[in-house]
Amino acid sequence: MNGPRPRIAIPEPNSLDVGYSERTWPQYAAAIESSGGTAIKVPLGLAPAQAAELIASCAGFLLPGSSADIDPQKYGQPADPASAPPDPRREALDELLLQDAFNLGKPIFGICYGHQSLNVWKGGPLIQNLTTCVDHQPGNSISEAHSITSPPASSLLASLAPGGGVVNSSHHQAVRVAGDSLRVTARSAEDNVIEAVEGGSDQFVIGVQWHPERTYDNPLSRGLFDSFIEAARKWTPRVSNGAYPR
Amino acid sequence: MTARTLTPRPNPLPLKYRLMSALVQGPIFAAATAFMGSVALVASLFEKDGRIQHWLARKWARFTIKISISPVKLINGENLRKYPVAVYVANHLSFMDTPVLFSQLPFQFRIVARHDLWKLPFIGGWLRRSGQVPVNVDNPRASIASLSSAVKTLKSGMPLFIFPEGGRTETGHLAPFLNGPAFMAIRAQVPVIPMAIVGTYELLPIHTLQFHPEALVLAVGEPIDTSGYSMKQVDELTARLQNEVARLYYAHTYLKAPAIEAPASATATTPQAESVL
Repeated sequence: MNGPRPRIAIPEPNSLDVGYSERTWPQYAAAIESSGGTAIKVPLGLAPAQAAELIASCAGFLLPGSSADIDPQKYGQPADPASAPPDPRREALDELLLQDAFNLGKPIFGICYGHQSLNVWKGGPLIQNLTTCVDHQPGNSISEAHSITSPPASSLLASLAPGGGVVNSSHHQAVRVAGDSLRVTARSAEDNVIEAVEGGSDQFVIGVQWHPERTYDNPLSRGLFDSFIEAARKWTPRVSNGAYPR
Repeated sequence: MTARTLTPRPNPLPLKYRLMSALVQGPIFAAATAFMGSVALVASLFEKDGRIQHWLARKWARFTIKISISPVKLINGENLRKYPVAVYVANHLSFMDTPVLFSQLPFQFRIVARHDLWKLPFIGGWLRRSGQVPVNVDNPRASIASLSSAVKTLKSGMPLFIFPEGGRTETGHLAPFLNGPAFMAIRAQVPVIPMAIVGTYELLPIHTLQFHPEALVLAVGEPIDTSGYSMKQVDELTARLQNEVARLYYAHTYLKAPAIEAPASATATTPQAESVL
């Protein structure tokens, strides 16, 4: 299952916008394949039992971006008029994946919407519509949108970009407070918006607000995918004591 | 108009201030508190999250600041808005600190306060029904439980305010900080914003009910991001906070900073200190 080329489950990004999904899924798959993994597409129409069967064969989960927004009721807020309609199928699949990953200690890599999805699952709220001095939606063609702060020592990001770096940006929501057991490891340098969160040392858990799959040639992006695949390669099932580590 | 500068409170207080306090300011203050407390009680029947009650508290705060004839000057107010959720801390000099904060912080927040305040008339009812966080400082086990509930409040996206000294100062100088604010900020992974309140000690110190109008200051320091901190560094962050609040406070008061304050750990390891033990 996780031999030299570990299988990585990547959900279809958005069940409400097929064009978006068809356009963006291959970018995540390409980055995973280039770093030495095998990308497995998880369609959003699957029954939970089928999805569970499919992801059981995978050693790591990549939660991709999406043009939808997470239902604000999940973090106890009324919907802001500026937020996009939620995608219940994607939310259900993300929750299934996260539950499985945290039960068995599987590596998790959240990108943009996936990063927010991870945070909400861990009980952290989001900012529904950013109105700061930094443009977090400059467009897909801009590969250097804003800089991030230098990450704290002993984080994964610190080993990849010790002094911070410059990232692309394509989102209008962000993590407001990090969820339980997650720690903030990068912020946008000028407006302090949370850009990355990481889990504890016993499991590979990282979420980033930017899109490393769009800039795979960049050492930071490539490093993120390489270390994710490396963690998936090393993954062995954690013995579950029946308690959900939430 | 000339700017007033902060001077020591006269002792005894001149007759005109005593008369003003006893006949005008005190009664209006008490009436305003009772009135707003009652309105907030009614409001609490119709809302779950305490937003209207916070709005009423701001109105009460601005009114009581006016009654005390002590305008507040906000310094570096832009630091208040740098993070959407944070732990805000300040030194505690007087009952009037609370109106200063509620009138100056331009957003919804909740306060962490001593549990015995929950027993006060009007104020206690407001504290209970508007979702503020009580902390029992006498009982360690209960105070850990209440800090966890403070972390929960932060995690829900609500900023918190706390006086880290745990009570009002008797002397006008800073008392040692307790660990609570650093603990909750690191646990919740939100920044801490140090602030200094200046002038309320001269306006209405502890153990008195007579106002001496002053020019007040709320000085806001640079936010301290806790994302690099672990739970082992709670004491370190507390010390850093205390230094920062002291720096802000003594920069705006006529009081001189106590000389022995900073190198507490250094003096403890000197031979003289050991021989005393």
